[in-house]
Amino acid sequence: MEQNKTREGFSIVGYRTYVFIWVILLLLLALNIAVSQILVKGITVLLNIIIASCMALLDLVFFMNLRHEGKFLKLVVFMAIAVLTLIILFTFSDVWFRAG
Amino acid sequence: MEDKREERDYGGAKYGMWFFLLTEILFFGGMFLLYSVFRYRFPDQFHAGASEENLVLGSINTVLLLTSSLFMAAAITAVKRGNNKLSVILQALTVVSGVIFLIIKGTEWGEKISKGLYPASPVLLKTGKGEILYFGLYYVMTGLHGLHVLAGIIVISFMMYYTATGKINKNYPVRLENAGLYWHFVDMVWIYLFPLFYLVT
Amino acid sequence: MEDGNMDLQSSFYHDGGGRRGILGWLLSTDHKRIGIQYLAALLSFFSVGVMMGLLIRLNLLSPGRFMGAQRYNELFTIHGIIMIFLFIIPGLPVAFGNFFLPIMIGARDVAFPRLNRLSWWIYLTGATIVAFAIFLHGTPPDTGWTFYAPYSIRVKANIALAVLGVFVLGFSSILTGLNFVTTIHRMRAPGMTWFKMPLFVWTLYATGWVQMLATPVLAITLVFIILGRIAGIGFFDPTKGGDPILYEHLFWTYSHPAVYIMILPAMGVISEIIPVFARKRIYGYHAVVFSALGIAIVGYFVWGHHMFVSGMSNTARVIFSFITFLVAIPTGVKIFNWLGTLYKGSIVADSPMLYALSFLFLFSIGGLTGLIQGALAPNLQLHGTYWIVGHFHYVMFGGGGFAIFAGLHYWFPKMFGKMYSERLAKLGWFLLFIGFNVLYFPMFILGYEGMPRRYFDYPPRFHTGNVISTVGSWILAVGLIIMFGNLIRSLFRGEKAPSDPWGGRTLEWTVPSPPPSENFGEIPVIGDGE
Repeated sequence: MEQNKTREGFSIVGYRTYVFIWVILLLLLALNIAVSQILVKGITVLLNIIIASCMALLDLVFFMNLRHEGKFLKLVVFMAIAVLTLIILFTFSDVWFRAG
Repeated sequence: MEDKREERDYGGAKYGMWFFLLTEILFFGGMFLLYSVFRYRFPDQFHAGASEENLVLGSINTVLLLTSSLFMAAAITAVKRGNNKLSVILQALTVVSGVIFLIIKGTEWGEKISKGLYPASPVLLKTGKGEILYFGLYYVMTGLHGLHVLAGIIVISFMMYYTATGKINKNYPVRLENAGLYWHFVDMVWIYLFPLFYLVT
Repeated sequence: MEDGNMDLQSSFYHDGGGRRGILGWLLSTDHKRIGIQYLAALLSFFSVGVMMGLLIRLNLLSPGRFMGAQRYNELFTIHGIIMIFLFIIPGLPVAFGNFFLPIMIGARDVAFPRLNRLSWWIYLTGATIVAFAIFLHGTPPDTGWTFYAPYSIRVKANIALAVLGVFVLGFSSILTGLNFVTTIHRMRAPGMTWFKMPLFVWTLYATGWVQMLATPVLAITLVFIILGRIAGIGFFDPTKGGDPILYEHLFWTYSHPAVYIMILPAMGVISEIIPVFARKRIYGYHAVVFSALGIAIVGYFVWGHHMFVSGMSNTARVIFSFITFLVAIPTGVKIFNWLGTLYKGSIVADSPMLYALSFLFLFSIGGLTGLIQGALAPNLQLHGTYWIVGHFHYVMFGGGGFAIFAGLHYWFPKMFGKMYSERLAKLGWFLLFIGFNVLYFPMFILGYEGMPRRYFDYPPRFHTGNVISTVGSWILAVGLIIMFGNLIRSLFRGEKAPSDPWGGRTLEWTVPSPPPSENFGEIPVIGDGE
């Protein structure tokens, strides 16, 4: 489109890109709903989380413009999510293995 | 004096908002932790509790937030291209979407409360432990999320004012970008909340 | 360049930012003014906490003579809340971090000065709310500073208020960490690369991340307590399907990293002082940096060691014990490097150094006992006993506290432009050191012998140890009075301080004592020679 950088070098993302991502998000939403209506118990929640995570990733990378940010920011976003994931996993090392 | 310096440090201002959002990940994370433990322990009762949810309303709400994120992202592009007027309109659409979201959410809450399904209600306490936990999580998680939506609506309203008066402009878009980051994050939390409460099979 | 004898006239003390009197302080965004105010608040709360501690020891001298069990429970609860949330966790970052971080990296202020001021106001608000919880109509909290559920949900006491105060204080902590991390990323002077930064700055960086990523977990946990009390939400209530152990998981997920918030900046202070007073570069700068980051990261995943006897699975217990041992490694690296710095150094045993050396000794004892209780089998015996009380006072007070005193004596001339009496400082230190060990060492023995903690009374065989300990608290108190008395008196009567009384190597010693409001005339450019 017209300009994709401002004077100071801020990257400008075009409207088309955003609309495109929005459409994909809506499709993923539909997919998530469909999966939950059709599939079997155990697998569904996993698929739900995976699809939701794809949606979240799109939101993060495109809407929040993480793809244009530096390595440091990408690293710390990843680390925060990793820390949360590990905290949950470590808690499950208790919850899952409790006797009785 | 500080104002000018903060203006000049575009990168620093963005870092500040990103770091704040990271703290929010951990804040909501505690709730997701509880949800995962309790759902692991009471899968059937979570299903029973979730059968109270209105999938249509929930889906509409999700579409609303996703679309509001689109509006917000576009609003930032508009400002960066010097089109403040368009930006204000897009921000207004974001706010409107957010308000409708909250209204729908409020209706859902009202419906449940009228059925007697609220924390420590006599009706709820008669159901299974898993259901009690489910509804506790429902109100806490959607409630805190809703508060964040409300905060976002207020913040973006201020941003609309700044954009209209030119304080936010193509040379100084960072405040709007930061508001956008916050709004997208709130959207992201809902992206996870939706399947956890509406798609429980 | 700098005039060591510049008087207060042109220092930051005389620049109220266009405002007069107390408003010039309360409304200031100058990191130095904010730091001084925090310091005053911290030390005031510390004094209150010390008095509570003395009262606790008084009861244990003769249980029941001075107070009943309920009052005793309230006392140790409030002692813990004040010392932990109002003193040690804010501690070094808000006082010395605020004052010195910008100067040490060659900046004029932090990245977000107004946010910094907001952090200060939020801190005051949180402290006020906690004070309300203690003094307002109703029972003060008596749950222990850990607020374990379901007791904390059910007890008729000002818990919601106390917990709200802590929640607010947590916000202050998060914002401070955010500010410092951004400052370090964005505002270093030209030439001040990451690996030329002072070690204190590195620890503030690591701490800032812990503040940002751990505190929110406490925040949500406290929200659950409040909701449990006012709305009947029963996540930790077995009768409503909840799990009290989950409370402990969430609580300690913050509160263990919290101890690294307490100790990392303390280690940073020690890393500043020892090289100066050993007249030698720090041994292994990079190792010290990476060990700080290592402690911050690994320290996230050890929290279960507070819960070995609470009913966790064996799998979890083994995992948490193992990682607890792992985190001792970077800690050991630091101790090694400090000793390596001292070795063949030219030791100047002035008071900052005495406190730093005490830190090495006291923190090592605390750390080693931590390893013993981090092993599963001993923990079964030691959990909930006075051994634990001894352990954490050695690390938090002997470590963190003594580092604060070390920093106070090291940076006092810079912050206040005055020198204190070195003789009195040494006397204060000596009594503090003796008193500390007499007070806390018996606790290891008492605990090992089976005396439970948080008990208002005890069987007669523990009497002697308790008497010794209480006498130690009195010696400690005298030491504190002398130490603080010396510093306070020197505020008014001390000799003018030069800009560099110690032969320091970091940027704060290149500016006048006290610094001017802009910190530097010109922003320094850091050369290669460091």
